[in-house]
Order: sequence, then structure tokens, then C-alpha cells
Amino acid sequence: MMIPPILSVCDLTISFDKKRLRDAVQGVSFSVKPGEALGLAGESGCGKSITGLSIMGLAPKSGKVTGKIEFDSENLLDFSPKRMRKIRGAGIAMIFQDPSNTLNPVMTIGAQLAEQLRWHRPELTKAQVREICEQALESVGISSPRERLSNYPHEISGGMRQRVAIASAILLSPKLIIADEPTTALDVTIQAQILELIRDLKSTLQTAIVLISHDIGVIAQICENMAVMYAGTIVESGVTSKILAAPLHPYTKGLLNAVPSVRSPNRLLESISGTVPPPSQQFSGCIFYDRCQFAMPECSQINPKLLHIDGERSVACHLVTGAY
Amino acid sequence: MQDDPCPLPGVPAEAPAAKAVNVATLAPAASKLRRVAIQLRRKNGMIGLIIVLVAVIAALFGDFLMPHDPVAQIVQNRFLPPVFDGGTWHHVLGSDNLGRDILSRTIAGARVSVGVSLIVVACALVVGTFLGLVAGYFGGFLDSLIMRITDFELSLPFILIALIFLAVLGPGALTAILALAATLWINYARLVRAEVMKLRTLEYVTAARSIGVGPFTIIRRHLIPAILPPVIVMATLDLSWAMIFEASLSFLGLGVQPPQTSWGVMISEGRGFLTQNMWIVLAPSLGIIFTAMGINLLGDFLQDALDSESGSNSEGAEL
Amino acid sequence: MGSESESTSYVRKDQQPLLKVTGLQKYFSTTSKGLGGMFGRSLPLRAVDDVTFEVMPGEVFGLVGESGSGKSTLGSMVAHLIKPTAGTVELDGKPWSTLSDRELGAKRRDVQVVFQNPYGSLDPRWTVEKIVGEPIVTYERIGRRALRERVAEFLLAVGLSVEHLDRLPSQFSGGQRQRVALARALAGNPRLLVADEPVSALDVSVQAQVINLMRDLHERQSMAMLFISHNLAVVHHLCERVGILYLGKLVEVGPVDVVFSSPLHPYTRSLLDAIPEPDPHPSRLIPLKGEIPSPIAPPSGCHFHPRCIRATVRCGEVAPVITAKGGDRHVACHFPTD
Repeated sequence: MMIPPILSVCDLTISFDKKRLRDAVQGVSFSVKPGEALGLAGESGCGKSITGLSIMGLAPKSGKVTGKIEFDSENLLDFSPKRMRKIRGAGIAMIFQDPSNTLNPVMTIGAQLAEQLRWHRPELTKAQVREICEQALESVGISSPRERLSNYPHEISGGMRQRVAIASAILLSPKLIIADEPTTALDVTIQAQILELIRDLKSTLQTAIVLISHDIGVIAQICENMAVMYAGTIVESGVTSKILAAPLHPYTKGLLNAVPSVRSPNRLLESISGTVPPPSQQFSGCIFYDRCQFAMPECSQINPKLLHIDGERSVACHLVTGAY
Repeated sequence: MQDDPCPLPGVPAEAPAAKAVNVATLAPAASKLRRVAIQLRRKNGMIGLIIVLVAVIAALFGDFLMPHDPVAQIVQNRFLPPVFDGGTWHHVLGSDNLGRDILSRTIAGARVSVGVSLIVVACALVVGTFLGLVAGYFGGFLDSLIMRITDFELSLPFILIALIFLAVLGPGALTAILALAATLWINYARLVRAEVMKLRTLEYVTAARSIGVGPFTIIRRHLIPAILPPVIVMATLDLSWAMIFEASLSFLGLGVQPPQTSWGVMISEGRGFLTQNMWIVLAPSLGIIFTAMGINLLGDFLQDALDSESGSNSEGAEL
Repeated sequence: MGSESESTSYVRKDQQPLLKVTGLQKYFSTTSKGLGGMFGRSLPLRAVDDVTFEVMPGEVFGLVGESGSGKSTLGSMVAHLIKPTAGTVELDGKPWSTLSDRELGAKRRDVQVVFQNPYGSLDPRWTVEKIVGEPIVTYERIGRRALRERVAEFLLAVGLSVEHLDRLPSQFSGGQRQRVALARALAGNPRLLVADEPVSALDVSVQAQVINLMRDLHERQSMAMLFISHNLAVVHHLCERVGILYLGKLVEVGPVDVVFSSPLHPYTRSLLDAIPEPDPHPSRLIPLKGEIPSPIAPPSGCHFHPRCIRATVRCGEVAPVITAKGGDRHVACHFPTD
């Protein structure tokens, strides 16, 4: 008996000015089941952040979003702004990179959490609101939660601020959490704490998670499935352990070889030659063609589509899919 | 993934038409509204430039442009109307209470008004910027000293400063210049000091220090080009300010003295004769208004043009 | 293939150290909240607290730490951008503080810095030629054409091209800007390069390019480097020796391979255990409990004791002194792993 995914993104395309710019996101598709985490990996400019934002309906207004974003069996793109606002913070919640920017510096933590709670559930009494906020802080590992409620964001450490951001995300028991680089701004020992927290929440609350990160190690810790993005498209996706054990797409291979490691011996890092193409550059064939060391003639003519390899993986590459 | 609601193509359904290869390395297109705004900016700059040029030409070559001697009084010709109101082309804007040609006096006045404001701003800019650089970069005792001087001066009302110079030097163009410059330099000092304090902490200044570049070289090569844009903008705004305040001073009799004339003097003199020929006041007023406006427009344009820091820092835009 | 099992070292044991830092200390004064502040009672922020280490000529030494470790402050003091509160920084045996103004100018040339922020460390109004040429014109009289040629050489050395000479920083990507910053640092012909988180702001693939470049430059010019980073993996690829900082104190020093494979200090162990690696079946991270304390009020005794699983009462009372442990290793701990 297969559980249906809680989130299904189909052929998502976000374009700005069609004539001059390549689409920011092109034909992106993925799905996440409840209690599972999907990692969106990629470097800057690959479109992962804007994909996450568009699920929440927070993509820049100048971008035209087409495709289907199915959440809990309904297409979010059909929702009116009013319905979207009801969903945000309650059905779907988001955690951003820098909690110093996402927490209001002139409001106490308690006030901010209460505001969010009361907006979605105006029927709650003050006492109930306070109790739920306290519980949320406790469940994210903040000791003495009652005192913390009256703290201002600058009075607590960076790691704690991120915990507060997570508490805000789980406050209304959302079915989906989108986390955009949630640990990038944190020290490595604090990052480990937050990752453990996210992993625990995933299993206890059975929330689906979309984790956006440039750090594949972080994705490996939390996400059962992952999708690698490059210049707006998904080049490889599937079960994380399979991809990391044997990456198929040349970009994925290059990326993994470029990551330095503490454990392997002092080797020369392999870097991918060239740079990410600027947004103004259009392509008729594969978007990775210029930088690919395995490029074949057809790669410059035909854009490879993301195709299933087996039940667990998909790759957009002629070299790979031709062989299958 | 049999019941996948969003099936990935295992078989390509319809291959989309191959997009035309168009390796365009153009900058990202601005939206229509932005493009119009940019054009308008340019136009404003041009308008400003033209107006300022007219004023400068009037100031420099006035002698050749004036149809009459601005101080020549021909009492029989008092209050001749302007040409479009029944007068002759001999006196295009008519004549004033002493028979002097208004157009010629307006042009002559331009010389003083524009000239004085340029000198005032130049002096204030040089002195204020220098002190602001020193205060901002070196901090410490020098900074405190300079700031206390500015605090003290700020507490004195402008008129009091003007009267002090008046008492020492007597009325005249020099008094007006000194009084105005003495008031104005403070703005530059504070602006430059604030900018320098901000820039001093920027990494490229620290980098220059780490290379071993001396402080004065850093100021000259790094800081001055950086503070120039806001200073220029302030200078253009202050040109208008200086012109208007010189007019006020002259209006009060503290500045330019007859037979020299400035726009302020003309307004002052023409006050009582508005019904006989309003152009005695209107001409110099329009002169002030248009020149001030032209300077502001030009300043706007210059701010963009002077700053070579082209292109925005949009690298970090996480898509 | 290019993989090396042993890092190439240009260090001869009988040489004098190029950089010698002794008992270095930097306290910043802060005003305490409440009435105490008004009456002058202020708690010092102990950014760097009694740090001692050496860097030999041609060696790459890594300084690792999280926030509050004081690593950036330490780097600034080594480059003489900040004056220490106590202790000395010696270059070739001569402390910065004893140099005359003239000597100081010449000595600055020997230490060049590459900063973290690729967007702030280059003057946005200067062309690349001017930026990279700055160290050259500061110390030499050189003609325009000769300068241009020399700058072009350095640009090529960092993998840029001659056509970049007349461009502005805004026209470059982050990775390219760091190359320009590197070229500028090299143009001063330094004997010691202080690099403060030079690749942290870069994407993974770009980071790899710049790291490889730095390795290459180090090998070709046998230039010593002080590489400051919070990223242990990057340090592992570039450095020969490493020093671990915690709250202003050096807790462990040693050859990088040995320190990372068998750390002596519990903090080093925790750092290593906290790194998420992109393995197909990664081991579960063992998070270190607690927050990083504030450098204004560090814990008594060993700064690390509140978070240390091996801590005893003694650890809270007596601060451990950094001691040699053989094999060029040093550790500051009452109960180091043996």
C-alpha cells in the first residue's frame, strides 16, 4: 500500500523576461512523501532557492510560474492569495538561512510566535497560546522555555535563534517544511545539533521536508532522496545513498570530487572546468555541454530529459540514458 | 513509482522545438518601466546641463550679451513695459524704477549670483572635505577637536554669523561669500567624516593597509574617489542654497552693494514697484528658480555618471 | 592522477622559524550593562588569550576555529593590522613592535593578506590592473608599461587572462575576485601569506579551483601560508600543520594528517565528529552539547570543560597548559587521548 506523496512538483518552470534570460527554473519535477526528506542540492544560481520559495508562493512577483505544485492533493498554483496565506506557516512552513534576518529584532520571541499562532488559530486563549509556544520551544531543545519567550533575538545565540526559527516552523504542525540552507550560517558543532534536531522532528512529527543546501554532506545526513540541480534544471535525482555511492551525471561526479574531505588522504581536488553559464545564455542542447568532459556530438543539439533509470534513480544525460 | 501523480517522462512525449542558440551576453533586460526611468534621467540631465550652461554663459559673457549698460539710469524711461505688454524691443523686459534695462541687469546679476555661489561652494567643499577626511580617518583627538568646532558653529544662527562678518568687514560681496562659506563647510565635514568612518572599515581599505600603503596615499587613492559622488551631489544642492541665501543677504542689504547688482538686490529693489513693472522682481526670481532647478537636475545626472562603480552587486542573488 | 599520500614539505628542521608568535593576547574592552558600565567597570572580551606557535619558511599552517575562537583577530595581529594587548609577533626573529616606521613599511611587504569577502576586499572603483599593481607601486618606482606587464604575469599565475586587466571587480564572479585578491597578495612578493577564510564564500566547484591554485602557488614559490578557516576539510587539503583554537586559546597543534586521524584534544575530536561527509551511508553525527560560550565571560579553568565529556572537577579549576606530546604535537588538556 503506497502512501501518496504530500508534495508533488510537476514540470515547474519559472521565467522572467523570456527574450533575454534563460528560465530561472526549467521543467523541475520531484515529490516528497510524509515523514521523508528530499534534498535539493546545487551551487549558487542553480535555482534551488527560488524553487523552494515558489512552493510557498513567495517567488518574486515578476516571475511567471507554470506547471503544477500539488500539495495534499490540491494544486497550489490555483490557490487565491487568501488561501495561500492560510497555508503558509500552518500547512507548509519555511526555515531560512540566517535567523538574524528572519526574526524581528524589535519583538520578543514569545510575541513573534504568538502572532503566528493567533493568525492561524484566532480561537485560542492567551494561556493556550503561551503553552503551545512553550511546548514548541521545548521540543526544539531550548531549556527554560518560559524565560526564552521574553527574550529578544539578539539576546540569544545564533544556534538558539535557528532553534526558535524551527520552533516557529513546527508551531502549527505543518505537513511540509521547506528548509533553505538552515545550517549554513552556523558553526559546525552547532550545525550537528540542528541536524540532529531536524532528523528527530522528521520522525516524531512525520513532516515531509524539502532541504535546500549546497552542502551535500548535510543532505546525506537527513535526506532519503535528493535531486541535483544545475542552472535551473534537475540533472540527477533519486535515492541519496545510491547517488552518492555511484553518481551518474557528469556534473554530480564533478561536484562530489570537488568536495574536500577530512577522512580521505590529502589528494588533489578535482574541479569542474569553466563556470556556471550566466542567465542570459541560452542553450539548444544540454546545459552542461560546455563543461562536460564526456560530451558527445548529440549533447549540443538535443537537450537530455530527466529519465527514469530504474525505480530509484533518474538522470538527464545522453551518455547515461543512451546506455540503458 | 507506478502511481506517481507526476510521471517523469520515460518516453519523451513531444520533444520541444530546439531553442535557437543565442549566446547573448547582454546585461539582463530591465523592465519597461525601468527603461523609461533611465531615459528620463538622461533627459533631465540634459535639461539641467542646458540651463546651467545658459546661466554660466550669462555670467561669463554677460558683457557682450547685455543690450544696455545695467547701471545706466535714464530716468525718462522709467517703468517701460516689456515687449509683449506694449513695449518695444529696445527694452525686452522693460525698465525699472530708475530707467535701467531689466534684461541687462538680470544678466549682470547672473554673474554675481552664480559667481558668488560657485566660490562659496568651492571654499566650503575644500575646507569641509579636508577636515572631514582628517577627522574621519584619524579619529581620536583630531576628530573630537574638529567635531567640537562644528558643534559650536552649528549653535550659532546663520544671521549671527553673517552679522559678525558684517561688523568686521562691512557689507559687500566678500562678506556674503565668507559668511556663507563659514556656514556651509560644516555640512561637508560631517558628510565626509561619516562616509570615511564607514569606508575605513571596509576590507579593501584594510587590504591597502596590509600591503603597507601609507594613510595619506590611502586617502588620496581610495577614499577620495569614494566620497566624491555624495560630495558632488551635496555641492550641486548647495549651489542653489548659496544662490538663494546670497539673494537673501543682498535683499537685507548685507551683501552685494549697488551699483553692483545681483538677483537678490534686484528683488529687494523691485519690491515696492510690483504694480508698475513686476518684471523687476519676476526676472531675477525666474533666474534663481531656473538656475537652481538646472543645477539640481545636473547634480542628479552627475551622481550617476561620476560613480564608476557600475553594475550592481547582484552576484549573491540566490535563485 | 596527481594524488599525493605525503604532503610536500619544504621545511628543513634546522631553519629559523619565519613567523614566531609568543604569548599573543588581544583583549577588547566592552562596557558592561547596567550601572557597572557607567562607573568604568568593563569586562574585557578575550579574543585571543596567550597563543604561541611557529610557522617555518615555506610551510602551510592552518588555524582552525569556530566563532569566538579568535582566529581572525590572530590573523590580523600576525599581519600587524591590529596591535596586540600583550605578547609578540616576530618575523624572521624581529618583533613587529620593535621596528621603526621605515622598517615597518618594508616588513609589511613580507606579509600579504587575502581576505574572506571577495566582494569587499577589492576597491570597486579600481580596475584589476590598479588593484593588483597596488603593492608593486607602493614599494617600487616603476614605469606604466613595466607595471602592466608585471601585473599581467601575476594574473596569468592565478589563472586569469590579460583581457581582465582593465575590468572592474563588479564584472567578475566571486571565484574570479578571489583570484584577483590572490594575485594582489602575490604581487607584493610576500614571504608569508595570511589567508583569512579565502574560500568560504565560494561555491564548492569554485572552491576546489582556488584551493588547487593555492596548492600550486605554494609548491612553485615555496611561500609560507597561514591559512585561517572554520572548515577542517579544506584545511586538510592545503595545510601541513594545523592549530585548533577554542575561545582564544590554542588547544592542539600538530601535523594535519595525524591530528585529524587521531586527535588528542576532546574538542578536536568533537569537531571531527560533527562534520557531515557526503558518504552513501554516513555515520551519525555526534553533536557536541551546549553552546559556544561568550569570549567576554569564558568558563573558568579549561574553557572547554562545560561541554567536555571527560571533564572533572580539576578541569573547571585549573587551566591546562599546552604541552609537547612528541612527534611535533602539542595539546592543552588534563586528559588528552593517549
